[in-house]
Amino acid sequence: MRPAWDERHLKQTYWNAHLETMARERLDAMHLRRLQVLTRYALEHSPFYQDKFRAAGIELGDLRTLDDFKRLPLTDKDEFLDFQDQQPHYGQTGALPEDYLAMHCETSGTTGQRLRIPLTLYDTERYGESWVYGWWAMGIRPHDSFYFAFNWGLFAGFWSAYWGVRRLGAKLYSGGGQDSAGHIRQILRLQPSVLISTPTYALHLANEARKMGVDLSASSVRFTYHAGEPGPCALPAVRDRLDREWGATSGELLGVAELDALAPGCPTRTGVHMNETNVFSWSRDPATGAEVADGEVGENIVTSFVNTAQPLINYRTHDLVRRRSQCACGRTWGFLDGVVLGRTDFMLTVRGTNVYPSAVEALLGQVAGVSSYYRMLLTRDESGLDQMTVEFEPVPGSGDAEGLAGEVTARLREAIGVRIDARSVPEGSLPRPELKTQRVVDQRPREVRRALEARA
Amino acid sequence: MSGDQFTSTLERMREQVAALRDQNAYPAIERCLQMVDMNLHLALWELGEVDEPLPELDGNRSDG
Repeated sequence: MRPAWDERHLKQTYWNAHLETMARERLDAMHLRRLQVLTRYALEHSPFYQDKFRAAGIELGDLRTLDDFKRLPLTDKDEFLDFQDQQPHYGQTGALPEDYLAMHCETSGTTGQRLRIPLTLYDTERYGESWVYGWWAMGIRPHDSFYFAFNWGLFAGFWSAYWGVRRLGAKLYSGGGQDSAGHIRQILRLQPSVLISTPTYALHLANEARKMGVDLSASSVRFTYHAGEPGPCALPAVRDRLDREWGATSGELLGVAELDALAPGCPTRTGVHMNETNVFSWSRDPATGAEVADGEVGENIVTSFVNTAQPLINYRTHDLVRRRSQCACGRTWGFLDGVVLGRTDFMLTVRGTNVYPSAVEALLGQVAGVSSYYRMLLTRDESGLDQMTVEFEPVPGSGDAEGLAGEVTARLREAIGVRIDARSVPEGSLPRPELKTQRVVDQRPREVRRALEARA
Repeated sequence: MSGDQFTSTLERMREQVAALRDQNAYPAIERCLQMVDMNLHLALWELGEVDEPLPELDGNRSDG
């Protein structure tokens, strides 16, 4: 019988060295060809793009360079939501007959209405493969076995992990809908080598295991891999905690549900790489609309080649990223240093200083006594100034909670340069969701948020 | 085998699959062949050798 895999493949550093290390000039030439074809496809199949491009006076022949393409009108989630609302399921934004569709997913709705996401089978195949690039680079191979610690529902993020496991050819244990103790007992019984969950939930499982007298660092799990929230490639403190609690190597993927699992983790674990097989992306200054230079912070604007059922062209992710063209790992794909630094829709300026939630989170992880349960509240005071307050649960038994809050406030001021008040809250008072944890709670008046959004 | 030969072999395989689809009578076999074509397209996509985002778009049905 022919072995499932040949050793010469298993020993390779990359899942697809041909594309992952392709020279920038060749990658850009491929992107340009694919963007021209995709734009033609959208114009032929999507009423949404027919109207949008006609209104902007766009002709296919105008798209001769990547810069031409970046000047196409941007698209945004709100437009898609409006059309879907007027004409369910997909309104004018769908590009294929129902016969082609294999899956209907939805966004998690953390910012309000759920966006509907139609996918063909082929879309799901390539969506899932984004995970594989990250897993392979970390050393995960088809002989590994995955444990999924979540309920699937309509949530695209973790369905895509399933598509990824199938693409990799590995074995899957679906944990399904259980409480934390149930997941822990199953992990011990089934002995998977890879855990997939949000980072917060992985840390929560470790806490619960400790209460049960179980040391998960001695379990079969050798890798933990995460999405849905800032994780080990964004926050060194989260990386250290995950590695320590699970006795494993943690990794992270950045996804945008309606687009793709678009940026698998870098093995340096200091950021993620845009999957340039599936997407073309660039960074835009939210204030001026101009493209920002390599290494500068800008909004990640993405075009997906793998959402053929609902094309997304020059799509605003609202994620603020620091893109770099070089990385020590050897991949030539755009590197997002620190993953996502903030959101254009949570932009916060405190006394003239841009405050990125990721910087606050990074510091919280360094303060002994602060647990992984915390959140940032955004408010606006009577004089019209934005404020951020951090609420956190102390590690049980860590002593003087008020003193700890004072220490956090002082360290935030020292690191970020503005006053951000911290207060401790009782153990168990903050939410512990299995899916996304809402770290930033924007309590500013709705009209303020809308104005910021329009400005961005 | 050179890269070009590898690519052209994949392209020829797609043509052969298209011809088989035209001749095939059974839904079960049609679905198998659809999967074969999708994966051949994916192989070409991952080599950067095809730009149409869907296999169905590049008219790979044979004339037979």
